[in-house]
Parts: sequence; structure tokens; C-alpha cells
Amino acid sequence: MAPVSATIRVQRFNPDTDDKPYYDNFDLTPERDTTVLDALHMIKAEQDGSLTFRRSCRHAICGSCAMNVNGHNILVCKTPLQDVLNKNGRVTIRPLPYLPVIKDLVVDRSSFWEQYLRVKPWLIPPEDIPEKEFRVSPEEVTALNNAETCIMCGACYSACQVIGLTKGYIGPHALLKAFLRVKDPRDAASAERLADLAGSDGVYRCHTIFNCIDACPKDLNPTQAIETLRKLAQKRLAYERSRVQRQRSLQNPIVVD
Amino acid sequence: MDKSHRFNTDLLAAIETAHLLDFSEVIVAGALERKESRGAHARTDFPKRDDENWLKHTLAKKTDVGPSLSYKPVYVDWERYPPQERKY
Amino acid sequence: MYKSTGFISFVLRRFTGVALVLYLFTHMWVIGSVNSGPEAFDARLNLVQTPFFKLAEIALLAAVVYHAFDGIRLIIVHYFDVTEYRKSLFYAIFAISAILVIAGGIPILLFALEG
Ligand code: FES
Repeated sequence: MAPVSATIRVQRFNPDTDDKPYYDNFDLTPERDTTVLDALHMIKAEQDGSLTFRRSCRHAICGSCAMNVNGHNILVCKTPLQDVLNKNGRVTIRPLPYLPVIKDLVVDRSSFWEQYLRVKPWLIPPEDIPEKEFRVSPEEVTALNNAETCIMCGACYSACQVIGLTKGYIGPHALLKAFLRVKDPRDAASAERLADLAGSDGVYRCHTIFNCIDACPKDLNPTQAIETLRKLAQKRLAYERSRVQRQRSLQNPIVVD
Repeated sequence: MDKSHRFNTDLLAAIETAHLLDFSEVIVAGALERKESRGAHARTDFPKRDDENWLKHTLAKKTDVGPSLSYKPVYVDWERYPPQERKY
Repeated sequence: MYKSTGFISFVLRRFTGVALVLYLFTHMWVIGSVNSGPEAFDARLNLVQTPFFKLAEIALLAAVVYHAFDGIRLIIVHYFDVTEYRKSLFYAIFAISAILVIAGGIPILLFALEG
């Protein structure tokens, strides 16, 4: 049964006018299928227009609306309000932890994007590109499933204690992307990538706290990707050699007819 | 209402609404002129596609009295990919 | 702070690790005095025979056992694909360490009470 009313506790902070963050309570009457994002919209439309938060797609694909609800990083647009209300009908919404707050629930994610660019998230093709297409086996494609559907929402990044405690750690989102590129049979720079990832900011800085898995709204597994990268980084030259061979065989496939 | 000078999403929404209005005017003006049906542009009074007269882009310029329209030809590789009607 | 079982295990691991290093230095301080003859050694040893240190020994046992089993857990995580069972693994090693600490702590406690 839907409770008659819900209390939304939101952390507010505008660095221009406030000394420190404070909490505001808003009461509203949710429908059975009101999401947390809907509730925020209701507050912004009906109670306080100055409440600020990021959102765009409203169906868990743009990654704008990651917030910390009751201590967990989630996408508020895909979470029903009923699921997060406690038995007194209250819920606490805070901005993503460990990131500088711009205003209310909006955080500054520049470090997130810097680390993302650092792993060169794009494909680096080999010198001799096949005339028609790269041939990739179904097994090679399924191996990438774990990393492909990342929407870059930042939930894992800001759930990671290592991000909170140290500067410069590449972070689960970027390492997952690096995993995608290292494993991609069309990419030609795996040894180079692995050399950077094996540095002091890279895969070995992960303390296997698993918060990234808990936080991921897309059920991806950055920790497993990091473990795989660790193993590959130890034998990166052999790995690169096997990849070059694989690429040759991709370009001159044995034609069976 | 949000009156702050920092990440003001209310102001953003207001600006975006004005843009939405501008662009809806452009879309309606262009659609009224284009006397055919093509893709998502579907008219009951002109249900057929008309490549002879309308295989061209519509360009709109902002003026004081609303959008003014002009046209630009579409680049088509007639040899390799002659245009065809899409049928379902 | 973002709380989770992973975070608890991380904090405990760090905490017990530092505690063990500190213990190592005290240990060397006591044992090292053997170089200056039996009297010096006995004197130092007496310093750490107080009831407080007897109880602290249980804490030492807890730190050693937890740290060791957490290490085994991490090895399992590194070499096998077990991230799905992360919570059960943590609870399992926590339970094992608790049992061992209780089993070892009771004799220590009895000994301390007698002596
Ligand atoms: S609004 Fe796009 S992911 Fe939530």
C-alpha cells in the first residue's frame, strides 16, 4: 500500500549564499508509480523552484541523475519512490559523495571525465586496416558485454573509497572502459594501454572494496574487469603478440565454402 | 522560483522554452510549404512523395516577420544510389 | 563515507595491518633486549606481563587471524571470478575469525585470570 504522504529530505547547498550544506524537508503525496526523480520534479514545480538537480532522459540511459539516496548511489529516474521510503515514509537524498558540490544535488564531475580521457577511451586501429570489415567472433563480442552498456553516470566513481581517499586513481568507470578497449580484437594498442594501467594510479590501486559493483545501476562489474586487467598487465607483451596474430587471421580469414 | 546566479535550471528551462517556440514556428512554416509526404512529414492533402519538386532541403532564416524560407538541392549519387521511395 | 561490507573489510584490513606493524616494533623492543643480558630481558618482559597486556593479546590474536583470513579472501577474489559472492565471502571469513578468536581467547583469558 502506498503511504498517504512522503517526506523527502534533500541536502541543499549554494556556495554563493550558504556557509555549509543543510537539509530541507518536503512533504508530498506520491502515486504508486512515482519515481524519486518524479518526486524531485514535483517539489521543484510545486514547492521550491530553486531546488537544483541534473536529469535528462528519465529512463536510465543518459546517466545525468545519479544521486546518493539513503546512502546508496542510484539513478533516481529508474528507482520507484516506494522502494526507498523507510517505514516512516522518509527518504534522504544527497549529491554524489566525494565530489565537489556545485549546487544542491549537482556535483562537479570534471575529475571523472579527466580520468576517462586519460585511458584513451577510443579505438586505436591497427596500421593495416582490412579492406572490408574487421571480423570478430561471437565469443569475443560476448566477452565485452560486461563493459559495453556503461552509461557514464558516475555512481561507481563516487562510491569508490579509493577515489575519496587518494588523488589520481583512474577510477572504476575508466578502467572498465580500458578493459573494453584492451579486450576489443580491433584495437591495436593493448600493450601501451596496459603499461599505463599498471602504473601507480592504475589497476593496482584498487582495494577490491566492491562498491562499484554495488553502485552500478546497469549491473556491470568493474571489479572483475580490473582483476582481468591486472592479470593481462603482467603479461602484456605476450598478450599483444597474440593479439597481432589474431588480427592477421582476422584480415586473411580462412574462407570455408 | 530560482533567482541564483549559479546552475540556475529554472532560467535554463525558460531559455529552452523560448527556443522550442522558435523552432516549432520554423517546423510549421517549412511543413506548410512542402506540398508532399516524405518520411515523418506526412500530409493527408499530399499523400505522395514528390521527388521532382521537393527533393531539396528547406533553409529558414530568422526575420522580423517570422521565418523566411529558401531551398538548397540535395546531393544525390544518381549512379550508385538513386533515390527510391521507402515502403513498408 | 559510502558504507558497505567491502568498506568495513577495507577499514579493518588497514587498521589491523597498522596495528600489527606497531606490535612488531614492541615485540622487537622486548625480544631485542636479550642482547643486553638476562636481567634486562626479564625486566622488559615483566613490563608486558600486566593484565592489560594479557587482554591486549586477545586483540593481537584477533588482528592476526582477521588479517590472515582477509588476505586469503583477497587471493580468492584475485584469482577466481567470485565477485558475485563478495558479501558471503566477507561474512564467512568474519565468522571463521570470530570462532578462532573465541576459541583462542578463552584459554588466554583463563590464563590471565589465574596468573
Ligand atoms: S535521467 Fe537519464 S539516467 Fe536518469
